[in-house]
Amino acid sequence: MNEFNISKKTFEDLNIIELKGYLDAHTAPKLEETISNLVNHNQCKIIVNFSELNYISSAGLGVFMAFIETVRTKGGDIKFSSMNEKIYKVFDLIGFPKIYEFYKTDDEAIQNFKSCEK
Amino acid sequence: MNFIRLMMKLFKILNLVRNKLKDSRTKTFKSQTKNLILIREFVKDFLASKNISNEDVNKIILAIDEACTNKIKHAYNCDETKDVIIKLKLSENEFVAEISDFGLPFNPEEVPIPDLKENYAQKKSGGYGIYLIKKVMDEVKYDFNQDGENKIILKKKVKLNNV
Repeated sequence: MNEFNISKKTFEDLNIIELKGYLDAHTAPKLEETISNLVNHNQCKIIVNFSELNYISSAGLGVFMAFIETVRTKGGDIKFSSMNEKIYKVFDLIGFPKIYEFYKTDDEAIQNFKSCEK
Repeated sequence: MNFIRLMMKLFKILNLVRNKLKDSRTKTFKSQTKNLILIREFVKDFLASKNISNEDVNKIILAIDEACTNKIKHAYNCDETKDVIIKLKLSENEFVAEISDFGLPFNPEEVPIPDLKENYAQKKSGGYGIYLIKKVMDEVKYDFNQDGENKIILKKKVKLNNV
């Protein structure tokens, strides 16, 4: 069963991670490894695209919490894009909108990264 | 005539028993995170015919996933040979889930409410599960019995879709 997939692409110095499927305590280590690899290579400007993610539990939310302080300290950020309402509600329950930025599209998130550089 | 009446009564009782069975389901899963997807399917399948709003179905699935994750990680310390037993019930508009393990007792009442500011600074990835369960369910109770069974009981009044 292919329950969770991550694909990566880059745009200039930005890294876009696309999540697909189900993000839970079983699949969260895969995301943790992906973000950890980026951060270890100082690739700290990260956009996470949720358009094809069907499910998230607290194990998935926790991965973002584990890295956000580090990436911001290194001058980057983790920004979220294309999140459906079902997934957003879980983020909202924990209070994540106070910490993270949510964008409707990758382009909007890219523009925000660019405007921060000016 | 009496025979017909008796048969009708019997049929009525059988129907009641059948409906009762239909409204409760129990299944045992091995304590493995790879089973979380099967656990969610089990819950979804149970709720599918119950005409419950999608929002409530999603909340219940999340709460049971979080409770099972806690049992796998904390009660059993990821020992994959152990069992997690899930019992689901629906009577009228109240949904009840009882999830049992026979591992280390774990009292979620002692888990503090997550402090996002502190977790941000400490890069803390865990500690959100119990908080989420309490947010999406109406009632969360714990029962520890002498046989070593640790049970978490989750209750929620559900919204039914108009037929």
